[in-house]
Amino acid sequence: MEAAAMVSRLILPLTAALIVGWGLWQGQDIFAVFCRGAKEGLRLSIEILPTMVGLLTAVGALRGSGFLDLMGSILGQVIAFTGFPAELIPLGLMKFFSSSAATGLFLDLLQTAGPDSFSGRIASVMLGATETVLYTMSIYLMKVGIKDGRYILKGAIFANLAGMAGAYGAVKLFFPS
Amino acid sequence: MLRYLWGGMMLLAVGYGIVTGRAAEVTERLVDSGQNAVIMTLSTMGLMAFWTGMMAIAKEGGLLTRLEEAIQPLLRRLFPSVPPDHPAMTEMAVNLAANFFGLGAAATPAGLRAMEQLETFNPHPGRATKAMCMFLIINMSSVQLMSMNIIAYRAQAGSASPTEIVLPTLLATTCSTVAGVLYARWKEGREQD
Repeated sequence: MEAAAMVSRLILPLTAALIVGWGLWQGQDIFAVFCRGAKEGLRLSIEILPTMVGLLTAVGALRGSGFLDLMGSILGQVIAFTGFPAELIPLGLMKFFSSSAATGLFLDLLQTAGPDSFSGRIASVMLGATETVLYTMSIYLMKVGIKDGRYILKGAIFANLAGMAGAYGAVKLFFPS
Repeated sequence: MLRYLWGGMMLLAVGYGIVTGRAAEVTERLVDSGQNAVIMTLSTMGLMAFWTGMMAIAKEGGLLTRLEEAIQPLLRRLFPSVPPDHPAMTEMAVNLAANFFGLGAAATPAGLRAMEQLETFNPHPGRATKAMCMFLIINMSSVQLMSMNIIAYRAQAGSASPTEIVLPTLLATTCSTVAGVLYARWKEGREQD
């Protein structure tokens, strides 16, 4: 596990070094190419900014209204019969809308339940096995002006539910108590 | 689709906020969120530019083509409707590989370009193609090998073994991706392009 974490820590610097070394080896004018590419990145950031403003506002307002808390507690009670901890449902729901909000809930949970508790472990696995669907879907679809997303949303929700179920199953499997 | 989703969220927020007496909070969020979006974008802009710069070097030297070739068999199976030598394949390869290794800032620009490339041969512009659906569903199923953030938060919270969740996470995230791919495949078989 420590080795895996080590690889993860080194992946960024090693990738950067590989690319720079490769470029030099090929005799590229690497700094000029880098700057040209970076300019493109800045342009893309600005291009997705309107989508971000719209989304963060809607998600922010929805959180402010308390509606997501209501949904979270209702869904938590509905799902309780499966043995899935009800307090984790708001986390899964929040991850769909906002990564930073989900991280906030996760940090609270680490304090209240503890990182090595049943809930704490599932939450840790769940956050890694789910994605911020709304944000990802919106920037990609808006980029090319897709109006009809067909089954993308359903597929993404299905995959994320499978990720949550997988988190529950994996924690049961790896940490039998 | 997005217009209803976004419109619904806005109306629900205002409506529910007023009914439950939280109009002040809703107002506050409506006013502040735009600023947050700008700050968030500005703060990630540099890293994103760094990666698009790096990727430009990698692309020029043919490094990205090699990466694509390495995962070509997988890409062909996932996206049978995309010609194997199409530029969309390279962008999708970079996006998936970067996501896998947790380099989100490198993944997003490649993913956006992949969408642009996929749209170039979309028979119904404005309507997602099967390849787009597959690509985005995989993207949103979380394909990350491990999250260093989560490990760091666990360590901060005093976990006896912050990294013990790495293997379970790999299993769970495989679950989500396999489920997403199977769902998209199933839909592909039932729908006309």
